[in-house]
Amino acid sequence: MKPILLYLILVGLPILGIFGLLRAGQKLSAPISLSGTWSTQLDLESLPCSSVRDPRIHPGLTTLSITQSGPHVFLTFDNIRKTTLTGNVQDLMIYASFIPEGADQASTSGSVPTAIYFHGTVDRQTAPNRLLGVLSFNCGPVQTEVPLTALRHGEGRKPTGGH
Amino acid sequence: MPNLAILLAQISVIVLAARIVGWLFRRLGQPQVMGEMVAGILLGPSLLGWAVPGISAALFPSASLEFLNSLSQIGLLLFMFLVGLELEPRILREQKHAAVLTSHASIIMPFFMGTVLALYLYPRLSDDRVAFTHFALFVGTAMSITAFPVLARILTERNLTRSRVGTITIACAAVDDVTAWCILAGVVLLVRASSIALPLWLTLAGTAVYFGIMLFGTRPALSRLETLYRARVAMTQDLMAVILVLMLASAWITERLGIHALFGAFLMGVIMPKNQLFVRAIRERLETLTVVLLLPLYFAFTGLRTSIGLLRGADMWFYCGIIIAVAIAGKFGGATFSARLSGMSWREAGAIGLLMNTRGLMELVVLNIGLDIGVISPALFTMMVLMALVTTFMTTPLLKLMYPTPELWQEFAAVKTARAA
Repeated sequence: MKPILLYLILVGLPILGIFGLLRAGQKLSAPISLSGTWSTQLDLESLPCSSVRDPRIHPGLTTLSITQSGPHVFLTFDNIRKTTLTGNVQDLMIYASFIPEGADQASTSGSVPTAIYFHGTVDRQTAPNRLLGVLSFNCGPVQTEVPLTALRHGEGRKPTGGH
Repeated sequence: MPNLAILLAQISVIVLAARIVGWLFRRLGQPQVMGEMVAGILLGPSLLGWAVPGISAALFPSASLEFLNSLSQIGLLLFMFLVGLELEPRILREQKHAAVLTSHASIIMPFFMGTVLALYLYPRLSDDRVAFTHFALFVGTAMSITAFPVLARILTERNLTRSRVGTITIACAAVDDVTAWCILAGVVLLVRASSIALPLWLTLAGTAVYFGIMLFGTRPALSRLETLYRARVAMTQDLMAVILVLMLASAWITERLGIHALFGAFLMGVIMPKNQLFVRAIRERLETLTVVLLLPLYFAFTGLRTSIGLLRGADMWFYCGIIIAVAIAGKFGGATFSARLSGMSWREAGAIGLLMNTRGLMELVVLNIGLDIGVISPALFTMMVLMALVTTFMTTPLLKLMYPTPELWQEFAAVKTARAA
């Protein structure tokens, strides 16, 4: 009798608990999905900063890779050198930035490292694979904004709505 | 087409790093495989890519990784086949009374705690493309894993295989392995259900038919291989080819069914004849190449996906700490408590808990599957890789503390006396 009772307590009860927890978890919601590879068109030729006008920058079609872990995101553009913007998802908005050392120095000489900011959004319900946003390049006091529209490669799985 | 020069350079560097770090870890009293896992991580963005990004990019360009991955997957199939091959139903039968409660509790307790943890982690480390149920089931499974091969190696190195602790732990780990892989197959099936071509009912029916054929058709037929082996008194190349083709065919079927190729390779190993000479002959043919050459590629591939840089900020390290604590509490606590309630002494129960807490390579396999099917994020993957390393690393030194050699010999003497009586 004792082994059966022990088995029920140590194995049976936790199994019931797991089912209860799975039900309870249905109410949780997770941040909007951004991870994956996105295609975008960027016009970077009009930028004032020399550090951005780099031979390694290819204007036009580019790829944006987003690595996501919950609300934490890492955005990497394949045509803006080896630059990764780090940021967060807050509700439906995405905020990310890349601020190199010395970017806060006020200079128009063009030698100041360029800080890059991004904010954008994805429509969770109607277009979860379409990212709309603005990239801001800060070169000393000069700031240039570039609109960004990106489409995610592949449909992937449908969002679950966080449930 | 892969660049052969790059591939050769990659393999050379990986094997060399695995041997050197493995040797260093052996000197520290750790199992070789622990060092090989660490070597893989050192070759990834966590060290090489961070310290010398130029060399890292030249040695591991992203275009070359697909071929490296394919090679490592072949190695893993062979390894899983060997793991299945070494599982002995006899051990399970002999220890079934003591092992049933301990093994089942040591799966369910960490699974339960993993599901509780999933409630906390889901909004913090997942996104809305992953259903909570999939996420929770996967985290639970990842918490329940025991590294049967690493555990067997530690037991052998500590001379514990003949002890009561050793035999019960091996039996529990074997039950754990089979159960955890079945749960994982179910989770993979659930997650992939929306993306695979087959409808779910057809996949489930196909899986049931596959298991039926393997257990009641293939298994009896495999005994003819053993008969052939006995008749020729050698593992001929033709016989070896038949075994490999069977293993690959089984892996192909499970991959097509949507439950991952690894299950097919593992199951083929499980149903192979268990004649000791036959098993040893297969192992001798496959083990060296698999363990020395192919498995380090898998560790390196895992290391290339593990980026400690993703754990930025105190909150991420806090989550990592919680994951490690829950993993240890669930597995060590669950196994220790249930072994104690099964009538073992606290020391024996603690040793069983400690050994069952070893996750090693099997955890990496599970985590890579989770990352591939998109159910865990890269940061969670990194945290769980660290958890696998910590739980594996802690086993040997703590076991030495718990089982110093004089006490071990006293126990052997007691077992011997009991048997004689």
